[in-house]
Amino acid sequence: MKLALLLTIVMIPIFLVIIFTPFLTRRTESFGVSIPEDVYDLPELKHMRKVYVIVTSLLSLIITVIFLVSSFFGEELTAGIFFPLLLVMYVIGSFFIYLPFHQQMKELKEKHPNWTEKIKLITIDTNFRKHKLTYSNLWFIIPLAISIITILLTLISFDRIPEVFPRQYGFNGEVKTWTEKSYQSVLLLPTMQIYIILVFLFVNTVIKKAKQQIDTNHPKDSLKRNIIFRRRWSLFTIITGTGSVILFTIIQMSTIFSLHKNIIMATPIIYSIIIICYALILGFTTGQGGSRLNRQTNTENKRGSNHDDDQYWKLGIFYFNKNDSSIFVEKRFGIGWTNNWAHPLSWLILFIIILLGVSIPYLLSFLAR
Amino acid sequence: MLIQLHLESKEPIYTQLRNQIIEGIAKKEIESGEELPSIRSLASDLGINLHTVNKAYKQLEREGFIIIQRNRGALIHPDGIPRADDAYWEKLHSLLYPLIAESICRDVDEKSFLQFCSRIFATFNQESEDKQ
Repeated sequence: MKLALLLTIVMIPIFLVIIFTPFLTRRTESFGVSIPEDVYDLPELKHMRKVYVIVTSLLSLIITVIFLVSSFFGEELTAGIFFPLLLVMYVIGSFFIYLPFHQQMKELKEKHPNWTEKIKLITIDTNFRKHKLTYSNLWFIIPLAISIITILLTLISFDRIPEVFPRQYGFNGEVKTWTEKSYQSVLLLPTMQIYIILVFLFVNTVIKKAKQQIDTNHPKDSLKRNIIFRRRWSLFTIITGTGSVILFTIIQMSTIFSLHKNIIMATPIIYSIIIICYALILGFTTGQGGSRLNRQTNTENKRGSNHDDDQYWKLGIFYFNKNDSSIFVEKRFGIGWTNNWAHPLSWLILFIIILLGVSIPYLLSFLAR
Repeated sequence: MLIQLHLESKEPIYTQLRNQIIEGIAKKEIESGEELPSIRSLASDLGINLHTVNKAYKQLEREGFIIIQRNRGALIHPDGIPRADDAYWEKLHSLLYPLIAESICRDVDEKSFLQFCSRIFATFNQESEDKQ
């Protein structure tokens, strides 16, 4: 029961982010449809957001109840299989809740031609990229050094490592699978560290390179907010990347030096809770594109409204625009970035990341021979 | 400098881009020798094709507003923009001629036409003063 409660605590932030997504996105976008900013506060839209919150809350509640009830029938089974399964179901379920809202929003926009009558302009600032948008990728030297030290320590103390060592732990702390000692098996974790560093380095680069998206009616103010948004998530990326590498080192050391199993059990859970809370606080204080940061209320530029690229946002979620040369763009519904799927590089990048992740164990066994 | 494009307009995008950059120079929002974003980053920020930006930059280069350097991207011409020459006066003449003709047909007299021009000039002076 203790474990089930703990995992429920981990789920709560995920619920909160999904439930309050309509409040975290930009005020110029509602359920994946672009709208004029002043429309955001209309009673109809307020009502839609309210209903969305209620429906997703209900889904969250149902998922929690299923999880807690099932935990009575054996914690190990529920935690191991049911927990990830329920989370996946939750994410898929919330998508199907979103869809009718997106549809309704589209219809609402069609019913109000005056929302789209203003001349639609793309606005950018040519000095945007002269600002410091992210923290330097050089910060990743720290986790890289930690990971190299881990590799060296592992190789130096190779003789100390028991002939068979635990590879996977159950949620109750007992060892689920054992691995025989070999260079290949002891170096798996440090190699994954390098992979993690590469992924986080990539994310930090995406944050820097992603398309500039500023508000036509508040160019200066939205620019400032967007810079803060990028910097905060860049810092988050560097901190969590380094943190994950340290976590792996702790696990590796506990294997070599046979530390108490509680350390192996507790550190990942404590670490995940800290990271999830950090992400939650960032999400709610900053909002998508910096939309929740303090804003100046006066309109700087009354001419026109933001460019309307709804036609390129399939279901309001998937961006597919052949004419756009950018690869990474800000999400419309939710926080973060997504790809322009019409750009071939998007698919290549996705392919490389998955290929690397999957092939590391094979690569290692090849090198060990 | 802010750049605003209207993608649905009949005016080609590269022309809009060219005009916006010239406007920025006229308003002193961007000075001689200052760097413009690279073609790649400007295209991706605007969400348009690389070739469109390239076309605008090439035209600006031909007209003497910018120089394109292979490794540094583009800059506003460091020696300043070439002053109006005979060719420019000729171009101005051919552009204004039909507009003045139409204005006369529509009963806009010389005085109001010139006043109208003065007002446009004033917006540029105003904004470049704000900058300084």
